Amino acid sequence: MKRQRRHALRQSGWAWLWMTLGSLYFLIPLLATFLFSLRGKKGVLGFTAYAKVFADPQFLQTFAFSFRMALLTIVVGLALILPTMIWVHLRATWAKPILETCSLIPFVIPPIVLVFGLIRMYGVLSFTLVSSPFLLVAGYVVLAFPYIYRAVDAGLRAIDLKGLTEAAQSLGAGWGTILFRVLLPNLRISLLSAVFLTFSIVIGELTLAVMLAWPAFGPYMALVGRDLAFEPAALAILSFLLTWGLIGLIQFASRSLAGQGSALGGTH
Amino acid sequence: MAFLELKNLVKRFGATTVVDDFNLDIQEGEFMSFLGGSGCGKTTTLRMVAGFETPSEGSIRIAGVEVASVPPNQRGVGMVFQNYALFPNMTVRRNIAFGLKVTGWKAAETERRVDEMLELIHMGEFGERYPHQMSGGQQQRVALARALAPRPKILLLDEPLSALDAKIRGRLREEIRAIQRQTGITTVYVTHDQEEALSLSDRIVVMRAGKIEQVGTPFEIYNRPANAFVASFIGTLNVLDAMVMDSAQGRLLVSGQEVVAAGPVPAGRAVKLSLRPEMLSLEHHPHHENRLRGTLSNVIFLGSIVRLVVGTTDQDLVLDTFNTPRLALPPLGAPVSVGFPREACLVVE
Amino acid sequence: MEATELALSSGKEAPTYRLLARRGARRWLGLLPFLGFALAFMILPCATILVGSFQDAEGHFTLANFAHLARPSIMSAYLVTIEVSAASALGGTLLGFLLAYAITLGRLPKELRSMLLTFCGVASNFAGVPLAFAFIATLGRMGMVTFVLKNVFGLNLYEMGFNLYSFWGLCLTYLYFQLPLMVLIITPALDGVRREWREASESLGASKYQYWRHVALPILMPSLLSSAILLFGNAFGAYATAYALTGGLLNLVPILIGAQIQGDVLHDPNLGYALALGMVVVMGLSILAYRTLQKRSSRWLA
Repeated sequence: MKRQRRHALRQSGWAWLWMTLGSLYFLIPLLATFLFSLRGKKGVLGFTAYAKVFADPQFLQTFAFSFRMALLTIVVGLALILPTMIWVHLRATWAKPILETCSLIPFVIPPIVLVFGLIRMYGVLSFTLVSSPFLLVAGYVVLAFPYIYRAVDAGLRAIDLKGLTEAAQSLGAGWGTILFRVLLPNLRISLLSAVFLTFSIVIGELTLAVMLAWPAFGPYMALVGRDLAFEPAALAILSFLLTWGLIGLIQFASRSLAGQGSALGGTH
Repeated sequence: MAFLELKNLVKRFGATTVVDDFNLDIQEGEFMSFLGGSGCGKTTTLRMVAGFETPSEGSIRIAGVEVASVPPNQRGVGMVFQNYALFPNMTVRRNIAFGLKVTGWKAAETERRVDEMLELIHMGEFGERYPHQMSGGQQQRVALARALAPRPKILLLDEPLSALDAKIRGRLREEIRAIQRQTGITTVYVTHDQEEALSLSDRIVVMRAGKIEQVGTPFEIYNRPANAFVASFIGTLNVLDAMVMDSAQGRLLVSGQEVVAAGPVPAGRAVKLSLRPEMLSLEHHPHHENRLRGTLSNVIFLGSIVRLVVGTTDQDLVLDTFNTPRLALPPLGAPVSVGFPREACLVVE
Repeated sequence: MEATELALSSGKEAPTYRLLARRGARRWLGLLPFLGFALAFMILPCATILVGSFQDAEGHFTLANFAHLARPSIMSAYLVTIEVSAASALGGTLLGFLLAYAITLGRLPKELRSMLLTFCGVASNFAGVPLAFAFIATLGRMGMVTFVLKNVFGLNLYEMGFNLYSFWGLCLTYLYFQLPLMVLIITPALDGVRREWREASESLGASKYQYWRHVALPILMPSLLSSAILLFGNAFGAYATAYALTGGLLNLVPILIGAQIQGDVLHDPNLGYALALGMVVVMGLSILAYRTLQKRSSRWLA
């Protein structure tokens, strides 16, 4: 009996070891960054760096710009993807593999290659295309597509899409009513998940914004990193809190919807 | 000395006692079933014998050797699981050979033994198949062969037929019994299906809430249940409220009518009279000393058996009769009398 | 629906044909907006790259771009990118597996498991500029950990040869999002390892080592391999983190492509195409390998 208890303890001992090591690797950089960010003023630990960041007009401008881009991406993305997915689930289930394959394309074409292709194709076409953030938003929609797809797919699978639409139709509802008053409310959670995920991706995105030369938050952070010492750390902490907040909201909301996967992958 | 001795076995999970003071001796070559509903502790007890749970108290001896501190991979116990647990990355042959390979059998002997096992379960041509290419019944037979291959001292089966269709269940049941008789291995079989327990076992342990209610042969358990729980758990049973008129002479009052039991009955006013449906009859037999009068309220056709429901003034009786060509039943609502011998009376508290 | 009825009611031979044509066209209707978008912004840019890599500055067909890939600086870029991706993928696979093992089969409390999975969901998204800043603040020349090690333990990291703005520094930084990704992917697979397999192998006499060697690891191998490949692809295509950390110092393929876009010294636009195509090929192969292995593992671990 004693030997078995010892064996069980040894096994969970290893588990605790890996858990501790993993936690250290994850938490030390965060802690170090936070402490570093408090060193804005010489010799004193305080929030000087944060104050400087918030006082910088560029901070607000670029953040607002990225915020607007995120909103546009969400609106365009959802308007494009949601009806398509509903259509596919209802009327064209044969097209599902096509959508699934499309959701893998953004992985095969990483942002750096995507922006290269976009510029080569549209950059020469017309100046207006490049001077409006149209291309940027399009690129963001491509980046966000896999995540939106997965979130909406999980949501559609969880609700009885066919049953709900048929019930609504038999009661005389038109497509507009069905979409906005029957389906959307039931897809609230997965839609929220898609929204927060897109937000998180767009706000800190660098590659597309730099290459297409837009004053977004990502390039701003990179610029700050080049010139200043402690402000970048403050920005990193702020960014982490924002991402944590958004993803945390998703996790919190999706706990009521079983089987919804957590956010995968990252913005590189 | 019994082959498998379980003494004062207790298992607690936190504040709950799942197995309470379990005492049992199993003889060598015996087929013992643990029978009970879910949560009665039968699987936990089995897992303690296998070594996957550590007893909180008590001892387990196999062939006289105390094994409670021996890890499961050194106990020489073979186990068959409810969901087969075949290794999906291995063929049938390699699954069966696994227990031999890890204990150091030589290659030639291993091959011979695997062939023997495949013969035993009549699956010689399945050697190169993978588990996902076989049906549930086939997988379970391979699981049985795999457990038996290393010549274990004891074979444990944890509800092996529960995941299978009814038809396959019956056939596999017979195969398991045949194989057990052929190999002569001491077997403990856990099930919640009383038909399985009755048809397979040499002896049955009926369990409830972690405790043993009765240990006995199938005949004993069925015909002489120790208490109302065992009686109602096994087979269909009529359980009638009765009042004791004369304890020593076994005279009872049921629905206002007198019934006489074969021997003295426990003293006390209110008891339960249990009657097996097959002991009752509408016809008049001279040795059916007891008769209960009522009206025929329902006739249920079950195929080979016809089940009749007779209502007395305040209770219902169920009796079974064979579906013979000359079956002549009175119409519904007609007055009938149900006869049964004194020996059919099972009086429990 | 009404259209088909109309078609039926109008001529006698025409209806069937018109019925089918109507149905055929309608099938694609709902997909049109999305397909249009996918074509315009996913497929055509890719096609542009494909075509462009086989063209020279005048638009004639040529294989010269691929020949230019053989330039030592570019070959070295591919090598370094492959090495960084492989190293961070290997590290992420191994350590992520151990961490995921700890919270599944290692029987740690359920609260720890959900905390770790939530954190991994966040951390796998915490890449790019903020991550680079975090590591600079930790292990840079002025970083907190560098500082503590120097002043408290007397270990001067940079004198010992460590440099965050190097190959190993980048690997270490990449690990911060590779590890969580691995944990998220492999946890469901580990959940699929049934307890009964271990118990069956124990009852048959196997030791823990034999169980892992003959049963558990072979069963998990397709999942592990596919995850490793996914991690490889993930690191190979990464730009922002590398850019923010090394500022273009390290010679990586994504950085090279970025330089081509922004017009570098050796301004050779068609080279960019070849580079981009090379990257798409690498990513495409890895996603293919990932999918194939995933199908195999889902059969066993369902």
